Amino acid sequence: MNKRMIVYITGILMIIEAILMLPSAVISLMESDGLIMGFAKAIGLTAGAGALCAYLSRPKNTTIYAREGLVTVSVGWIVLSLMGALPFWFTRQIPRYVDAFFETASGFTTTGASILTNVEALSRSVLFWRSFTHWIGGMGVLVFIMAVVPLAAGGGNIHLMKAESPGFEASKLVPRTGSTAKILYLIYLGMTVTLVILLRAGGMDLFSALCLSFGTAGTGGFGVLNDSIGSYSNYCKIVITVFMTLFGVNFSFYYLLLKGRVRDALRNEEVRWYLIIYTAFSLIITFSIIGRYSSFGGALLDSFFQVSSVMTTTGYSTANFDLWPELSKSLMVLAMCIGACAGSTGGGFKVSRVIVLFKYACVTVQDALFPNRVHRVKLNGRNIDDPLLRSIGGYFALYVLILLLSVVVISADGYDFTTNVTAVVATLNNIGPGLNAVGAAGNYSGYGAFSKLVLCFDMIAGRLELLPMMVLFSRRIWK
Amino acid sequence: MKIIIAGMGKIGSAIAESLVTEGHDLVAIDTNPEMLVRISEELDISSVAGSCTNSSVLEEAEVAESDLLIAVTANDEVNLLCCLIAKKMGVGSTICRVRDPEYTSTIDTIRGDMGLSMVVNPEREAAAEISRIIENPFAQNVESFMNGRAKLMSFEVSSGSPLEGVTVAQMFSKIKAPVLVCAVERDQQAHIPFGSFQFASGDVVTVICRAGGFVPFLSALGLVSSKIKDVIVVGGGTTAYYLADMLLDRKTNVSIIEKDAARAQEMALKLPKADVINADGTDYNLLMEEGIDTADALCCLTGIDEENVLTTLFAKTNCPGIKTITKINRSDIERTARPFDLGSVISLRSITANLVLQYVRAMQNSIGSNVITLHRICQGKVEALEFKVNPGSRVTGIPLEKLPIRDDILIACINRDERVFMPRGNDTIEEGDTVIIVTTVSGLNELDDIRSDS
Repeated sequence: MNKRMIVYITGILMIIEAILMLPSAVISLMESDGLIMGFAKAIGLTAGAGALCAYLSRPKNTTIYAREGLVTVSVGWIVLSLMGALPFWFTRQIPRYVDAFFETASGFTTTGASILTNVEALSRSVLFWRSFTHWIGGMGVLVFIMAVVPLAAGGGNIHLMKAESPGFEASKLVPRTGSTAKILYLIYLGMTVTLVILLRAGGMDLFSALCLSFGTAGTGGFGVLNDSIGSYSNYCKIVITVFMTLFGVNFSFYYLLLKGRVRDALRNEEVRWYLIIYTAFSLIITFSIIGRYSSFGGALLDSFFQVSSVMTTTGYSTANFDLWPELSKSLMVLAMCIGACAGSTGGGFKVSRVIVLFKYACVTVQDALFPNRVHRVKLNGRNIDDPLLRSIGGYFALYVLILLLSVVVISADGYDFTTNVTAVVATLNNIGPGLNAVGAAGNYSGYGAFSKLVLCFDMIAGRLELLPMMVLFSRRIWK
Repeated sequence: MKIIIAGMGKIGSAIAESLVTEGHDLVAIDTNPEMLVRISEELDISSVAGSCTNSSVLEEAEVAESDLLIAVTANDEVNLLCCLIAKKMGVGSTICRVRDPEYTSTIDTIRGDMGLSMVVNPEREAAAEISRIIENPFAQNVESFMNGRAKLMSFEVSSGSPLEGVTVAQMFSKIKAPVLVCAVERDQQAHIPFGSFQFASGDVVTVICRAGGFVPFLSALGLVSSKIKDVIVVGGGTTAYYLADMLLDRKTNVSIIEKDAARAQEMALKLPKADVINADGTDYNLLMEEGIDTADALCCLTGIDEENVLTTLFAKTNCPGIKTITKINRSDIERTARPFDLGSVISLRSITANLVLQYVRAMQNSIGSNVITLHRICQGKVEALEFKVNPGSRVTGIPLEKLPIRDDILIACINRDERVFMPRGNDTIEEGDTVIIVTTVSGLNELDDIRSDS
């Protein structure tokens, strides 16, 4: 294990994080909200600790392997959340550190689960930092650094990128990892700027437009108002619905579109199924909730918005779906678990994995019927070979295991079963709101400190697709 | 540039490794997906699994947008077919590996029709290299620049050599031969020495001089070359065939020891003047029987690196004074064997990678770089490059002692109007010259880059 390299990259990560805190500090100065000292302390401490780590462990050997990649990413994300909590804590806007940590982890992992009961009471500079963490976490920080400088020698970068980017097929768009990272960030930035412009065109003030765009782009879900998106105009709701859906699509789809390879792009099976599932769920829910609305349009908008919000794992809300009929609620929880496309900013189990598992299940039945016939699982016309099938099966097992264990642990706090299950589902899949006490109108403030830490673990594990966090439990890593 | 490499064997990956450090975007094609994934992660390149003669595989590798395709699979016919298809699909240039002697005579006639930009034959290149070494038995590597007008040679300073303890500045007065010391490898570290650098025994010194300047220099060092008359070749592969062909042309006696009976028959048929012995070349008694103690040189060219190394070591310990040439293909074995005295080591990997690299740099020529020839010395740690001086260069007209030159760079040779000389402080570089630069920096593309203020 190249431990120096892990500490070194974590140090660089902290320095970058300190730089990313600067815009919030500038807003604090512009607003003269009296919180600038809190920001200054947070930035100073983060940058100082980062510089110290990077300086003390300047590596002679920058070669890293898959193992180092996994550990760097998980350690990096934990440190990122620990340090990112400082602005909340030092400005006393969130007085307890564990709450600040929960809020930051929720921000970076683009979960959007909050412990705040009154968002509007927060100062704008802190709100900006809260939403900005979504944007940073959406595409990943290490990917961001790699777009600017190569971190490791030769092929080491791909191990970092693989560990940080969602999806089982970490495919590079172009031969170099660094260039791939650059292209991904440019697409991400371009789409975010478009969204800001469209929201401004709808009459939203710049601050809200920025914050909501960060939340949408990263598929996070932190808003600036207590009722999330409920009180904005229908135009804004439609724009956000469309963009949430767009950010849930595999980014290689956009790269192919940009290169003019429309036919290749449309051949993507995952994107097709993603849109089919999305439309089907939304329509069923529209008809199941129509009785509660005065117009068909209102029901249609709310259901399309909500399904997009949970399926892309954003977590914005225009309606309290906790009050919807049971069928709708079940479909919502199912959509949460399916999640967005691999290679997007969204979380969840990922549509492609669901497709493969579904096909695998069909093949199992076929095998039983026709034992001598050869059956293969294909995705996008390609054969999914046995090692990949095994890894997807293993991923599913891990996913279920973490889900069940977390539910049992947080049950100690005494909430009802639905609350506990959806709290874990909503954090592990990086969505935000669940049902009942943690529903669209509720929040996570009621859980005890230990449960909050468990949920933080779920959020980070979910964002990094389980494996990077799970390797931390291996004793050989710590030797 | 965008480059596709078809075939990720030993040679393909060596080429990929050197091209990727030069900053090119690579796509690798191979039929073995596991190996492909491992290599593409190690080198940070793209990969497509499949056959390189399949047009949809080539399409996925974006062949139409690529500048160059290098076909280096194990199979000549596949390489030729791959280049032909790629050319039809719109690739810029193609490099094809063809190594079967059956083809080498005809390849030039079909080269134009196939649209091949370059044909590489690693085995023949290696044979040519070995034959050069045999010609200069004390020199470890001999490379040509400026169409053969300047030569680069490496030799080891043995204990008791007149060079031992002498500094570079003193060398010129002590040995009156016009050579320039380019690089010294000591304890696996490469140095570009200056006047005060002191030679020690065990140093591997690379010098450059005019063609024909070696003989007086080597004899001044006491390294008088006796003519090589008898060569024993262990292993009868393609390289051995090419080598024997070259040596027999020069009236050298060649004995080839080949284990496989059928192959031995074939060699005997193709090379009627050579002695072909059907036996195990790693059998030491047999080697003694075949007269290794009286032979002038031994070439170990079997396909197994370990056998080559051990056979060489046996010869070195039992037959002092024999010249040995060892073929080692795996770079890790070469590194491990370096502490031993193996004499000259030949690697098909690095010879081919060098050739391709040279070609790729020449291709870039049209985009702004001016490298004519490139040789790597000191196990690839030092590069010697020949540049053409273009109009508008920022190094012309300034006496070299006034030119701000980077520390890691040495201007070794200037070729002006067919005359080669080693520049001194008051010489200048002029437009139209070609210049040889020796440097520890890799990937130098512009002559202007030698300025410390560029």
